[in-house]
Amino acid sequence: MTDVLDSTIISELQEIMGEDLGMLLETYVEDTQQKIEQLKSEIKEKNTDSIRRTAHSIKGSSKNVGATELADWCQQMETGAREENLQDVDIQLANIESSFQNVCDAIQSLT
Amino acid sequence: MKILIADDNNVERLILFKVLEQEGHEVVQAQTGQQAIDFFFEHNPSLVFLDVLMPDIDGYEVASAIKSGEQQRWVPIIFLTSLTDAYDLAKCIDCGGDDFVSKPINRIIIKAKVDAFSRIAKLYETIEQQKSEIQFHNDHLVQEQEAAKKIFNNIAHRGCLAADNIHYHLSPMSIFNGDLMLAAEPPMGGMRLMLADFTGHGLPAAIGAMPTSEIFYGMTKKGFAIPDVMTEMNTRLHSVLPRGVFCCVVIADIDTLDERITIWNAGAPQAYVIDTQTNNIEQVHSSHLPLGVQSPQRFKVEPQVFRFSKQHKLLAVTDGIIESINPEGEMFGEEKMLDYIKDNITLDNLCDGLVNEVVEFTNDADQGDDLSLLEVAFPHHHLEQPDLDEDQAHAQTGTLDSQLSLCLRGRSLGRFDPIPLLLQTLLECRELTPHRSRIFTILSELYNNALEHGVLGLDSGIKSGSEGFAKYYQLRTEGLMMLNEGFVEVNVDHKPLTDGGEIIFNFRDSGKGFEFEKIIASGSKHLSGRGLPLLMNLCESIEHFDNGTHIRAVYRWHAKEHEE
Repeated sequence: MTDVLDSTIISELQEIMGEDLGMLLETYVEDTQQKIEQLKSEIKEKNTDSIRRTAHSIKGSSKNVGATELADWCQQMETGAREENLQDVDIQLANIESSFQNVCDAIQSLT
Repeated sequence: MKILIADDNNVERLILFKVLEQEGHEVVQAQTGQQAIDFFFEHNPSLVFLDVLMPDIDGYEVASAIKSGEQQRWVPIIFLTSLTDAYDLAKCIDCGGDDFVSKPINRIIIKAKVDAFSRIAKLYETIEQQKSEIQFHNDHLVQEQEAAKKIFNNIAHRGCLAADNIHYHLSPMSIFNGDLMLAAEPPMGGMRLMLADFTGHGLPAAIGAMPTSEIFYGMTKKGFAIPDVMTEMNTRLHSVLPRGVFCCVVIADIDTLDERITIWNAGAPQAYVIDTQTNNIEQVHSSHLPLGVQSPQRFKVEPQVFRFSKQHKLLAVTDGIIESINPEGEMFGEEKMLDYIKDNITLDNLCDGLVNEVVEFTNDADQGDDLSLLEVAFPHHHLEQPDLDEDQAHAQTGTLDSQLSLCLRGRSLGRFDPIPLLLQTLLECRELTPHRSRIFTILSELYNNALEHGVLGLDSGIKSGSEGFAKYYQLRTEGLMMLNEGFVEVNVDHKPLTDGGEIIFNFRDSGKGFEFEKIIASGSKHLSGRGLPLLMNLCESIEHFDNGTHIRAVYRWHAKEHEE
């Protein structure tokens, strides 16, 4: 278990979801993948409002599954977008992507 | 409990769903704002979890839409939010939300919130249930009161309150405030009025109205005097009224022949006998406990008598008017009342004036509903009974051929009023029903002459002069109290004739007699004291014997005669 996935949260989730934990994590991965793609096109269009919402949404589900690091990157992007500041948006996106990759790996290793 | 959750984020929604499902709740999931609104009205949940940020319709709008719906129940809405800004959080409550929980979802907090709201929801449900029960009972009560009002108004009808010498103010629901206003024309003419105020409100206050009204109209029709009516009423109310309910009353008889008012006040605010010419105001204070308080043995009625003519007016009120309170907490009070009367003594309608005054004083238009006022001017004299029942008149001939003797001696003279008895006996002959007023007048004039001028030896001359009136009646009361000897003998002989009948009244008394011829000659002033012109007018003949201690009067009546 790595730091990318908070083990306390995962074990709590295990308790809540029981057999459905796998399904939940699968849903998380799929949703997040899709949202990151969405984020990319929104960045291209420099649509700050959409960027903020999408980043917010990824952050929300990431926190729920214990992907704290990923949630932090999303938070940074969300804050930037709210302030109409897209200066670091490419770096933030890169961090989000790599962090998400780590989360995926960690999830893989759980099952 | 059925719970609706609305969140576009699949992960969050899944977790929340699981948390709630594990607690045994039935969960409906919506992924968009629109779906949330649709599902709410479709599934009728008891609790709603609502995400603030949703792509189509945000949580705030969903909450407003739900809360403005027409559902009867209260359904709590809890916002799911990662917002930390105080303004955003406050907005959750402003738009109709009841609480918020912060994300990420924490199982313990969710569970605690659901428990708390289900407790509150149960409380609401209980209150709603009680409210509808109360509503039901209230509707029922209003219905019953309406029915009761109809019944009471039929029984406790207002007699001749519509007469044009009367102004009154009485709320339509007054009977449930315990206020009762009655007016009747006694058989000898004039008018009898009563204003009664039962303690309490609602049915307990109204319950006494029935016997009171029954006794009032029944006994007045039969010619009973105030003390007899009040004694009977007190006896009845004493036995029927629940503990703590009693009846304050002002009762007054206006005698149009003698131009006097006999008035008795038991527990009510003072009544006013107003002279609109001299501006003199007599205040008639309560001189007895209210009706229904004292046992019949201890009950005693001593009415006061005042002159009452075309320039006089009687005003009686219940305590509602005096106890009216303005926004500063001051009572209207007796002083203001008296001042108002003094300042407006010639006002034609004091009653309406006073009601307006109180409404203005209290600054409350509804206040008028609690007031009962009765203002009576001098009535027109009448002796006819227009409400003749034809069936009764032809029913039977009863005492058409009969003779009745009665001798009252000593103490009985002051304590027993024989007139109702004599009248009722004569009226057993139904053909006499249209003659009730005339016969009553003859009986009471003859009897009172024998008693007051004969046995008691009172001089009707005393009555003249401003103080004389009250003095005369005081002497009469005192004389009757001390009476141990003397007598009045009454003989009534009723004989049929071909076209009706003839009643011969013989009255003998133990007095010194009077000089009949001289009084006849001395003019109308003195005569009026003995009602002789009236008797002569009503009777076929009037004769005096034995120095005026024996009078014989003959009343002639014709069958099927129609009164003018």
